[in-house]
Amino acid sequence: MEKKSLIGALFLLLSISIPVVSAFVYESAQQTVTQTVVEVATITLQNSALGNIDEGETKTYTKTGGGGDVELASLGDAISLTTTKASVYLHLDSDLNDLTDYSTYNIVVKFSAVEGTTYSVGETACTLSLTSADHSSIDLDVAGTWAFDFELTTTASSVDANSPTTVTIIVTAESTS
Amino acid sequence: MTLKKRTLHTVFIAVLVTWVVSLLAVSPSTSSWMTPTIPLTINNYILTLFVTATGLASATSFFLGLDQLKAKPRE
Repeated sequence: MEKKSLIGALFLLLSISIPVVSAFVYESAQQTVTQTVVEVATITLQNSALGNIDEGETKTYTKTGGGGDVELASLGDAISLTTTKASVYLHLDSDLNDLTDYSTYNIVVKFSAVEGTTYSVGETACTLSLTSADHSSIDLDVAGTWAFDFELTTTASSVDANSPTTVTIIVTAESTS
Repeated sequence: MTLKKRTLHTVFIAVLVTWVVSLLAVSPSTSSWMTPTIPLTINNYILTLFVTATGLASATSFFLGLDQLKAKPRE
């Protein structure tokens, strides 16, 4: 095939491809826009990141450390999102109840960036624990930027190489129409 | 290359770049690179720009393609 014919055919192919790609992206965007429940983040806390822990030992991990707490910078702003309307509900679902080798595993979720006056920075939004692995909802009552820090307190009842070593927290946001 | 063809090529490149940029702005997969926004909203101006750029990029590409196919082969 002559070079010009080939270039011409490629241009024609591109002229068809552009609307097809656009239609696909537009459709995906429309589906996303109309979604009322959106997965904001999946957070995995690996025990290897928490360092060594002995049987019966209790350790607390915070983003800044201090006061005997272990510093773990990744716990700061673990969740951050922007809401474009009032009353967006944040749901946290974890697999904490699958942990068998801990007598305590508390994840305290604290506000680190707030909008409006209902909440303040440092206030506890919810606590996930071995017996309460999921939290139904945190009401983000004002549109704006929100962020949350995590604080962990763990007590290992036994240390076993075969025990589960990660905790996964799935964060979803629900916007009411 | 004639002035008309050069203009058409310039217009095509300009609209194609606009289309790519607006595509990235509209695409939900690129929004996941940034802080999640709930509920996600798409600015009407960006949507209009995206639709317009799609039409113009497709049309100019079509005309450029036809132009290339109609061009007489060199002797």
